[in-house]
Amino acid sequence: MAALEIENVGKILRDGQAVLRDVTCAARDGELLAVVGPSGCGKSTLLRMVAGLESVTSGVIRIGGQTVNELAPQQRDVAMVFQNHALYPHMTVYENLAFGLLVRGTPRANIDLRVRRTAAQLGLEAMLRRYPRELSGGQRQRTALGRAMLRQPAVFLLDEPLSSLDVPLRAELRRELSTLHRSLGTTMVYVTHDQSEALSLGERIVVLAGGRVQQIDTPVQVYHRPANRFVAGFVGWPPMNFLAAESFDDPTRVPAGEGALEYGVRPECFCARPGGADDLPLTGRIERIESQGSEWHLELTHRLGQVLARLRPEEALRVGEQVRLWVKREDLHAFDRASGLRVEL
Amino acid sequence: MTRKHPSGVLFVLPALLLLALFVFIPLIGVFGLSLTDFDVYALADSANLHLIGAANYWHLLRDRQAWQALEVTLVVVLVGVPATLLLSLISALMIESIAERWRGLFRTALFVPVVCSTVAIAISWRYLLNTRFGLVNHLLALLGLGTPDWLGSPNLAILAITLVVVWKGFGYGMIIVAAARREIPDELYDAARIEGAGVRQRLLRITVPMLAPTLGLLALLDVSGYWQLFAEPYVLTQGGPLGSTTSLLLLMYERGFRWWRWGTASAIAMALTAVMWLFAWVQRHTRAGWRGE
Repeated sequence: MAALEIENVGKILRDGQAVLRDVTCAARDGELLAVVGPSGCGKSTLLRMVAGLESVTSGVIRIGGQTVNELAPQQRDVAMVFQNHALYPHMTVYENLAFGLLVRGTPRANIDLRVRRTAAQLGLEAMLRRYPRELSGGQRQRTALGRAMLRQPAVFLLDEPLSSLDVPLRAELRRELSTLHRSLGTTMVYVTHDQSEALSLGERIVVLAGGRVQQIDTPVQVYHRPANRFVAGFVGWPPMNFLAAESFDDPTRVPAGEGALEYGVRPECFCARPGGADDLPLTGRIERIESQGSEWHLELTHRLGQVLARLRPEEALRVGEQVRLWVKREDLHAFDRASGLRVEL
Repeated sequence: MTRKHPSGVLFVLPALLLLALFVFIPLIGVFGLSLTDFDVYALADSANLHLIGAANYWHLLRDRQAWQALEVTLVVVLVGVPATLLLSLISALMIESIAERWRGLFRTALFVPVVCSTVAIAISWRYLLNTRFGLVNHLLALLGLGTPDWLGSPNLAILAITLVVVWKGFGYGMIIVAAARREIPDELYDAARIEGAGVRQRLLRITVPMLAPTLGLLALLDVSGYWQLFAEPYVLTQGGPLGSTTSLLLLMYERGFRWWRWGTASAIAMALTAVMWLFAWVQRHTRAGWRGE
């Protein structure tokens, strides 16, 4: 077990394209760090650099205090789970699990003991003699996890491990992964493009976009205090609404800051009734109502555009009618129009 | 699909007619001939033609030359096929590991012998291997390794024939192995590197086993190809010296078209065909097993 430190790391491809710029983040010993960002943001490259599969153009990567920039993957004491499992198709589950120990020259008896223990932990005992093509998606993913766990690495790297699975299975494995992390206590870096996965799994989240770190914080902070407009729009589903002061019924009551501001309101922060005197009203025409059972998604057209609101179902709401919704002042996010950075009101 | 639609028969009819004309009818004819003592005298007077049953086959079993031809053919198959596969594998992996822009050049260079006429290649090699002015011996002499009589001594001649056969054949396997190598996902190698496998272990535990079905298929193709060895010894050595390079097919040719003993030649042809059928059967059944991938 060890902490992972990434300091001012940059990656420039041979054709001169910069994939990562000055990335600094760290996973504490035993922490599950989720790295999230849209596709092409450099998150997988970052993970591959930690694993040693990609060279580091600039900066330092340390595992357990030791600089690993120049170390080969096998010398880094990391394990990795790949998006498409990367199981060896010509080997049984047993052989797949044993591979790492076998190539490192571990005695057979020891390998057998550890393979069986790990298989038991993941519920794979009955599958040991099967080939990957004979497994379900979930079993394949468990095998890939098992292969990574078996060597008891210092750092566990996961590259979109659940994205190839269907939705119910993904939720199930997400819970398992979380339990597994608690029981193993190993430092984990979890790369995903799915912000909800990052929110539910990560103890802390690194939001990456355009090769730069946008924010590093706990899921609660990332959700409730996004550092910039990008994070605000990327994290949370349905995404945050972005409004101008003039979108509200009375722009003069909207708190102003220095410079031109853009305001953000999460869909669930609209209320059908005012909660206090400070609440800001916004009037719009209901374009569409989508029932989600416990809540309704309302699409409203207001003076300057559209917003999406999540409300408790109310029979009185009808498509085509005007409705006035209320936003608490503390639920209002503000971002500088020029820089996109968060502005505290 | 409609099973008994008459137009289906029309579609396969041309192919069937061609097959019948050039394969099935000759095959039946050859089998018939193999049961007779048909020779050049029978051409003049059909009274000289006798049905002799399996006598040609019994003679073949006691024919020292036939056994030698079988030995020659087996040596070329048993030495040539593994050598071809190894060369195909090594050259394919090397081609795949070099820079993309050089790949086409090397691939073409190594593939050229495959598409060249066997006779042309054999003639070129006869010059290259010539004892007095051949390039091979010239280079060997420069290195001080002597000037062996490649095509003149029995043991060297069969080696030379095998070398030429392998040299001509491995490019085909190379192209197929290279394509199969590209199909192996990079992720497997990434995973293996992280797991701690070095270059040698990645080759032996991932590349080779993943290519095994392809290599197996090539082995069967090569076996059936080399089993029909003919042009190389025909041009390079005419089967000599002392019959040391007379393959079964060459023996058949000699018996049939040099000595005009078509009965014996037909018996050899039938024996060759029987073995080929066996190979085809093995190929069908082993390939079915591999398709599990």
